[in-house]
Amino acid sequence: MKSRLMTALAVLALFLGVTSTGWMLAVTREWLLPWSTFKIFLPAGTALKQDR
Amino acid sequence: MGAAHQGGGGGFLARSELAVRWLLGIQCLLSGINWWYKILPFPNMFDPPGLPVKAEVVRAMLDSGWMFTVAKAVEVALGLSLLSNRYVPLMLVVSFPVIFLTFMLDANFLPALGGYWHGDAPFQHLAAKVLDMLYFGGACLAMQVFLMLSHFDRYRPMLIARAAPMDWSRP
Repeated sequence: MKSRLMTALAVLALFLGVTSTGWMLAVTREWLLPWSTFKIFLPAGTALKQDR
Repeated sequence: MGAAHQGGGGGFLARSELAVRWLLGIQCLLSGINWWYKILPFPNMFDPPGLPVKAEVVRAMLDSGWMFTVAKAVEVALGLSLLSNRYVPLMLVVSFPVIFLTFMLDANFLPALGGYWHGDAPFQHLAAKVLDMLYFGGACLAMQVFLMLSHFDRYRPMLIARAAPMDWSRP
């Protein structure tokens, strides 16, 4: 049981690790920056409306 | 030592530990180095004051003059530890508060949900909050927890309810 839970956590960590590295690269290259909260660093006027 | 002590039947877990260690190590090293040498579009110590921040607690950390630097130094140390496979169990414990608070910064998406619900913010803003929670804070926390559980046998001696102090007079 513990081994299965650890395997499931390993799969989750691998999936999130690979996708988050891709997400980090995409945000860094500004491909997906408008889809990240780091869009606050976009030049003035291009940032999306905030929620407050 | 790393994966070597994981014993038989741990083939997939041992390979996963190696992969996750490298993934988290690269992310922490890049994120940490960025504080002194800008390689990511994230805050840097040489940015002019008054730039927007993701959360007010980040501004307080920046204004303190040392808190963010310490957090970034811990990230660099964790990254180097994970990539070189040196003192990994120790650095996972030392860095846990930084990784956990990073997750907490991204975890609260309820204001964004409320803003979207009341029509004050577009769906893209809610999506950005959820994606950052998942792929910045959440992913790092999941990798950190997996690595800590991978090295759980190193922490087992600490889980003693009543510990006696070490006898320093013993040769």
